[in-house]
Amino acid sequence: MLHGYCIRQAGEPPPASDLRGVDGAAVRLIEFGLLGIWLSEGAAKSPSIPRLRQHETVVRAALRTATPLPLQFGSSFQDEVAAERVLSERSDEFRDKMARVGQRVEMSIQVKRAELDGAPGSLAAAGHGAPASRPPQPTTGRAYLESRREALEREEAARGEAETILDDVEAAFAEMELPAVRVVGGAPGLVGSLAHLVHRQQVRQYREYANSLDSTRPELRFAVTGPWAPYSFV
Amino acid sequence: MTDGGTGREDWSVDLAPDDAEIWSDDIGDDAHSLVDLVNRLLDKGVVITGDVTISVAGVDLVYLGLSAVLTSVTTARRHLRRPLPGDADDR
Repeated sequence: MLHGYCIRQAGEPPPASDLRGVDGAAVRLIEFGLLGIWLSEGAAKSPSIPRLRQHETVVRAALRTATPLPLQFGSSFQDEVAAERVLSERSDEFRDKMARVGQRVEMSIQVKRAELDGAPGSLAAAGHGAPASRPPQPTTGRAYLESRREALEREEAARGEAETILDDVEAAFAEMELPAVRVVGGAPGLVGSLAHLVHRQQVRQYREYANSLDSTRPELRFAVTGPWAPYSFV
Repeated sequence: MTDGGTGREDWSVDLAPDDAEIWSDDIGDDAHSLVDLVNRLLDKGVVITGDVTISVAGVDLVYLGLSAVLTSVTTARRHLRRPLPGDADDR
């Protein structure tokens, strides 16, 4: 079995001979037609943080020289013939996606609340902020249904609040006219996050826009990560 | 990590197209970098084919279908109405 990392255009720089991927396996290039794919021996491994890091290290190595189409972790091929078949059968799709993302990279900004806020009705209390306290257990069926309805209403309100915050954050980048993908919540403690597709030459400008958010929303904390391969846009 | 005492948290390197530091292999080991790492690699990207079952000590905990579905093994069995790889009746 072969573990796949990313798809490239044929002719782009191959992986370095000393590049190692998941579980230390050497990474190699298979080309078919106008496309290529970075692979290593070994597949169907359970995801773990070390393996995700090893996988991402390879994708980042590709990203240094040209923007690849990143494969979801766990994408595997029986052998090189199977990999070539995927490149052949989905060539048009992959080339369309490459044209869409161009040589841009993905940047991410995560949003979380600055204060230790566990007040009822807040994002935190509804699961979009700090961990909420556990409510008392209902003792009757009716009480249970009412508690469920109230929980759903709180969750809906919190989601609306998070969407509004993300609208404001997204507006800060409006002048750059960036394609964006948003996730509400996404992890404990997060209001949400935005992924943007950014030209390599605009990454520094992107960070300046992100920095400007600190003064406009002091009640929030922002974290920028990237550059990533365009995971959210393929 | 904070940026210049502003209280702003920042988990990435400085960026410029010709700056070698941009393309550092350092993915970061803080919680937020790991959230981005996990969310991207397991839930986004080009989907080819195949399934992954996350196991601990021989017990299947999470079934990961590569159509970006992350769910429990029990739920996956109920919805898929077919055995998962490794199930006894799949042999």
